[in-house]
Amino acid sequence: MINELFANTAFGVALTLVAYEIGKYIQRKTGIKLLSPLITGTILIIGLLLLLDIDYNNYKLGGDIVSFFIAPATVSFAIPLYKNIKEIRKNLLLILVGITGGLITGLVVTIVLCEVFGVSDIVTISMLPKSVTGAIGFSISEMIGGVPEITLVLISIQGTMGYIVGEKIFRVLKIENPIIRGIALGTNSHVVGTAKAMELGETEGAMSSAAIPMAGVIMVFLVYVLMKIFI
Amino acid sequence: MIKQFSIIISILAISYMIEVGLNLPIPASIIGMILLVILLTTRIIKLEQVEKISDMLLKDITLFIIPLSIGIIDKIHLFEGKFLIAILILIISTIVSIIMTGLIMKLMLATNIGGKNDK
Repeated sequence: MINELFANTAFGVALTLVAYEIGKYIQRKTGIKLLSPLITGTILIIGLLLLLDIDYNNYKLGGDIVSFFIAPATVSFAIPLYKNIKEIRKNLLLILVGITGGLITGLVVTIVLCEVFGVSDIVTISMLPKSVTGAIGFSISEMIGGVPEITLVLISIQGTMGYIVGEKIFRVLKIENPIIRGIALGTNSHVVGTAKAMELGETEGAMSSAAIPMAGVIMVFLVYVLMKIFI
Repeated sequence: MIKQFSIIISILAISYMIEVGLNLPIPASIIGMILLVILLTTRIIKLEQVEKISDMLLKDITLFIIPLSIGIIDKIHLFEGKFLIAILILIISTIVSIIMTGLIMKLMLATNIGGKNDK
């Protein structure tokens, strides 16, 4: 009954936009950068859907319209890459090896630990692309037969982790080079890590933004090779 | 803005054709990103022609992702009660990966195989 009221595209779009704006407002007011609108917005929407017992599929009608823009946004990652292309060319080998090494480490640690703890195959596969940014990780997860929704939630948690531990790791390991700091954050914690990189400095921020699309592309190939070997 | 968006979305449409036509194991959005970098570096497309729309799309990229993460309510059972273990694995792998990325690059610079960086 009540569900008929929400069975239109406008409802999902409206709910998503409003929840996002509320999330941004909360982040601004509390001054807590980690309280991303992705987290608060998601909690708000899930809360409302459960509270009013609204069918997820009704929300999805509008939700799909909003998430359509992920693909063009991913194409737009070409811009931070292009803007930093000089600096990248100068350090190409360093950057490529750094990104690839970080991603392989993440994949190996994840696969081994999932095996040790007996995590199911479907969750393990969904975990593989968790280092890269949501828009790209989502597509990769879909491509390798994972559950994109699981991948996405793990991606946001991984980003948050990188934001929290990144600077401490650099301090302990005495990593002061801004290129290394930026690449390490962008590779392993995508957009959220880039927020931290921008706090650390301009070069850090630029390198981190550029690392996001590069890590995305390299991850596609790594995961593809991995799936070819094991399946 | 519509003009700028039309460029991005046309590149994406072509990328879907490339993905399906050549049967590539690469998501169309990534193909589109690579295409756009090539078009920018060859100056077929100028930065100003796509800069505004790209800034806008990237600034609010989390908004577009929200509807997808809502889908987790339908999938959470797939963790078979091992959600917290998955998070633990994720935390460990994130820390180790950042350490490894940093150390690999630091080692490369120290041994001078990382390029012409003066640092």
